[in-house]
Amino acid sequence: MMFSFEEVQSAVMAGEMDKVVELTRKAIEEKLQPVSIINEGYIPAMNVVGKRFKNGEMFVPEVLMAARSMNAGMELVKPLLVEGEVQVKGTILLGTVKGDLHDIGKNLVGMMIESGGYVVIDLGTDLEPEKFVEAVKEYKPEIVGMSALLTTTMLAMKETIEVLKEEGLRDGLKIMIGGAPVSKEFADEIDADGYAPDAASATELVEKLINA
Amino acid sequence: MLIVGELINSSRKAIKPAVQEKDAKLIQDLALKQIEVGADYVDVNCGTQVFNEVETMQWLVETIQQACDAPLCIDSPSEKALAAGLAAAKGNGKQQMINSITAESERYNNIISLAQEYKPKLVALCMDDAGMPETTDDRIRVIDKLINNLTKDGIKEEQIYLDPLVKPVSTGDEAGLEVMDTLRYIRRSYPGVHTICGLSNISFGLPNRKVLNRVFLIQTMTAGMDGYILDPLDKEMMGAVYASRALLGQDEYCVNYLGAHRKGLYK
Amino acid sequence: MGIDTGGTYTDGVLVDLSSQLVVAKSKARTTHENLTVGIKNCLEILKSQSLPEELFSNIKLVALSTTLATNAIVEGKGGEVGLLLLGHGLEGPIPTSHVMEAPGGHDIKGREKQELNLQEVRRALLAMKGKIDALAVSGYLSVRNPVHELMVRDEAQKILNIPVVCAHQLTTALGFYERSVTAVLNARLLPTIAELLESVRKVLNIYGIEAPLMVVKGDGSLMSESVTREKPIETILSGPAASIIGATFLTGRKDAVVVDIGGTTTDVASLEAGKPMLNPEGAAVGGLLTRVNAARISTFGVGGDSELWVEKGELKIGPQRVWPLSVGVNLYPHLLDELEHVWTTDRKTKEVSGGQPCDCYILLRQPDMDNLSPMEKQLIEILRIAPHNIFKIAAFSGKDVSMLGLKSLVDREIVARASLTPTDLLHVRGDYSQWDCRGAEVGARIQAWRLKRDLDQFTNQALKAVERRIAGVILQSLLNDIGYRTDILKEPLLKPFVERVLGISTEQFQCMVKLDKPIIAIGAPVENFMPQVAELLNTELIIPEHAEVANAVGAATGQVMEQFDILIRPSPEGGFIIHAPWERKDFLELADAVDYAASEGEKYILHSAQRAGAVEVNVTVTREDVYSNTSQRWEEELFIETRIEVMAVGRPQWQDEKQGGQKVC
Repeated sequence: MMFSFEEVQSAVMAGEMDKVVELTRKAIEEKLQPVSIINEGYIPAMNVVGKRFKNGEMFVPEVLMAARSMNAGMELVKPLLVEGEVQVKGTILLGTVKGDLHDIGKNLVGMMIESGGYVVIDLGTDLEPEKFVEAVKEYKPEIVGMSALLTTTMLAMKETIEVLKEEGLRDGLKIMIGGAPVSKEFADEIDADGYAPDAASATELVEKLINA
Repeated sequence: MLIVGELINSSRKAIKPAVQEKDAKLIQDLALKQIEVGADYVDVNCGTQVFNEVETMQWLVETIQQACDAPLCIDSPSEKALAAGLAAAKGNGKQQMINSITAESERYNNIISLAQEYKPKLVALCMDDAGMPETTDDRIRVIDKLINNLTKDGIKEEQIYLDPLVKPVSTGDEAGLEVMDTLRYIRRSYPGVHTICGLSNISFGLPNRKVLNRVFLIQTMTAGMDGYILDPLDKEMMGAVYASRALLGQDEYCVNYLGAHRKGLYK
Repeated sequence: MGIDTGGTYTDGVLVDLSSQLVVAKSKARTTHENLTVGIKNCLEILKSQSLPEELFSNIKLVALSTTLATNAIVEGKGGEVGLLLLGHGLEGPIPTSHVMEAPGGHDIKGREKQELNLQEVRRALLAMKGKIDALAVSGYLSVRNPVHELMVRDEAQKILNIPVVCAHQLTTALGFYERSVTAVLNARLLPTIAELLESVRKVLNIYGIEAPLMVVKGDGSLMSESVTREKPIETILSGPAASIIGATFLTGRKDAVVVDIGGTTTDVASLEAGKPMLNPEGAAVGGLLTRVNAARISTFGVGGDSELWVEKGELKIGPQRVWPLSVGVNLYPHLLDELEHVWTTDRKTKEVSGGQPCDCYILLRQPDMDNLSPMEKQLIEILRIAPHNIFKIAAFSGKDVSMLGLKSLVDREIVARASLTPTDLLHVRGDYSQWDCRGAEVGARIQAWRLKRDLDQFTNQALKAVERRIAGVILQSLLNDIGYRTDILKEPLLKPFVERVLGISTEQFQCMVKLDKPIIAIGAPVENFMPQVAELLNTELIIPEHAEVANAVGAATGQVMEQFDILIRPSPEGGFIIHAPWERKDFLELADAVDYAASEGEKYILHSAQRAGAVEVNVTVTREDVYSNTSQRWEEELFIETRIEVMAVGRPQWQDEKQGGQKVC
């Protein structure tokens, strides 16, 4: 019988971890390309999950389940990948700015971006601008994503961008921001490159910024 | 049981213009209404007025006091705004509440002297320099530290309202359970200490949030929570409050339940 | 009197300020080894024009626009400079080897990041003592709090007794690296500029001119001799800005696109309200980024001497600059015979790759033979006798015509290449006759044949392509001004529209743009190209009289202008913080902070403007409160900051005048 990617996809979308693991094993036994399991199985499924989440058809726990089941399959596929076979689409640094401890939205964004094939480095919460600076120097990401959930901490985003400018790091970077009170207007005002209202849009924004 | 009415908050759409245009009538009406339907304290939060929070806090407190002598919950992370609110509220002779102190060293040190001076009820948020607690054990560690320090600094157990810090159940299956476990620990270890929380965090990321919020109220109350920051005009929520109190033996002869029923305060 | 020492020529003009007319002008070759020689020659030519005697003695002001600072930076000249960094190290090239670091510096809110360690500062200063002629001090985030730089300056003046330059006094922009580089370059230029000012003064004395001497800045405004001695870095890239100011004076227009077509490049700049639009990134010189204000100039590699070359059946323009064939043949007539031979014989015998069949090479200077490869030595030996076409060179050297390896000699400016250029085509069409038309024609015929066109078709097509290219770069420059970065002819979605705007295609639909301001064109071949360019862009074309000395006119008619911003931000501890160029200060109330910033800013700028040599100073203070909307759910306005822009504009002080000022709010 032909191996069916649709089955893998629906198992990922439904968050059925055991089934994803089982199907992935089968795919490996049938000598399918490990890369195609990811590109034709997992990633299209996660794209659908992202869209449904954005439309309010799926909810946070379901997205987490889908991501977890994909990761379980990924654990089996990863050791089989030849070096350089899966190209890393880009590295994204994420963090919540100084004075702000909110991390749920940021974590969700990280997970969605990761399932889109990017490397995500989560720096945590309550980050001094200097922490972003150090991490940009260390990881040389394409994008820095900042989160703030309080109107009082939104200005820390502006300050973080300013410190990146003082350090001469701003020019080589794209900066995206998010968080409940954040707006497009605010992003423009503080010289960020983009703003996303939710986790699914954040993934689209990453694609857009990386390809710009 | 202590109910803090949460409606006077400048981040709410209806309140923001009233605060900016100093619409005293609207603020006073809202304070009176919350007390009328059963709130014990009126929360005052103007954290969105970043550059004149102190003045705004003072104006709000004075304005509310012109209309009623209800005790107030002065709500801000800034000690300057808290100080201004407490000073302005002195007139009504009640014990006010402040929201909140934490175990973060800087914030703790800034706010503790206010607590010592005004002797208010004190919301203590379960958080320290390490950030938000991840597990029940984290919470217990922070709670021990907080209560130990607070009592050492002369705060009575009865003054303390511990907020166990509620996280969304959508991102962690244990989020509700951890709060319940924490409540049981507090009741066992510090019987004199009160507990309090807001309700909307629990339901983030899920549909039909009101149901979750309401059931969470009932469950936490059962586990010993004795304070809530909520919208007292939400009749369904208030129904759950009155019913739970009666069912948990906190309402002799169901007097409050029946009284509220006659006033039509719940659904 | 305006003087401009440009790359090739030193221009001089006399402008009568009451009639607003250019009354005399002159051009002399720039003498790079000693600029004052060229300036003196320029004055001599002016003087020899039998002008009324009193004209020279009545000169009230001498304004100089000079490339000296730019050249000195590119050539690495100047004094020995020490750089003392506070609180942060630097990565990237620093134009000095005496770099030391001491603990200090501030954070983004202007709070002390680290206490300034004066012990360490003294140690560093003593270590550099005797080795440096000037000191540059640059503190981390000093633009948010200058106090550490000021403390170090005081300390350095006690210990070193040499000039000290503080980075925050040269720019208020973020960017620690660029600020530090700016400070070092400024310190390095101090002796160079002082020497220039002294020798220019000597030349002026010869002619009995005692008027104040002023120098053009990168934004087109003027500064006094004494401020120039302190801030020589401000003079970099002042040439283009001066030409924009000149363009506005000569045309009376305040808003325009100024297009300067030179030999190598076309420079496009926008004139807004009588001033050049500035580059927000700051000026870059000799590969170093600075934070000096300079006019925003978009430079494109197309000019009268751009190479017109054919590759794979397509005509291409630039960006290489070559000698026009008409010029080459004019100087070396035997090249005509060689080109004719290419036309009759060589072109049919062999394909040329990596070059054009009509290429000719000319030896410019005798190089140091030790640094050359054997093949290069052979080529030099051939060209030493006479310039030649490549087929001839190939024959002499016994090499294949595609394998001559002349490029690296051209790059090192040992050898020049002559090839077909737009200048040649203007000769072919009969618009020009300055050089040798025959050389131009045979070159054009060769290239036309390669494109399977006859001579007329080719000439018209190529000139049309040049016009389209210039119209394209103007459009690109306007889009750059509004923040659009990508190449308009490469962006897939834009390309079909741009092609129709420029008339490259008319398939299916037409598209047209209309500039809402005129084009002011300066430079040599403008009469020949620009009318068609203006037509493509549907706007008026102005080619002013005296356009060839626009830079010197701009110098003579410039104003004194000083400008800075003061930032007021909410403090995390409540209240407000002022970040001004001279201090950081706390206030409880926004209103008090604004009042203080406005009144102190006004005093400060009035003082600066007067020091810069201004009279009739108008000070304007503009307040902008910046709010941003938050998301729809929040529906709230967030206060971000208040910006106080302080600006002073005055005219230069003339000889025998007193200073005075007034303010306008």
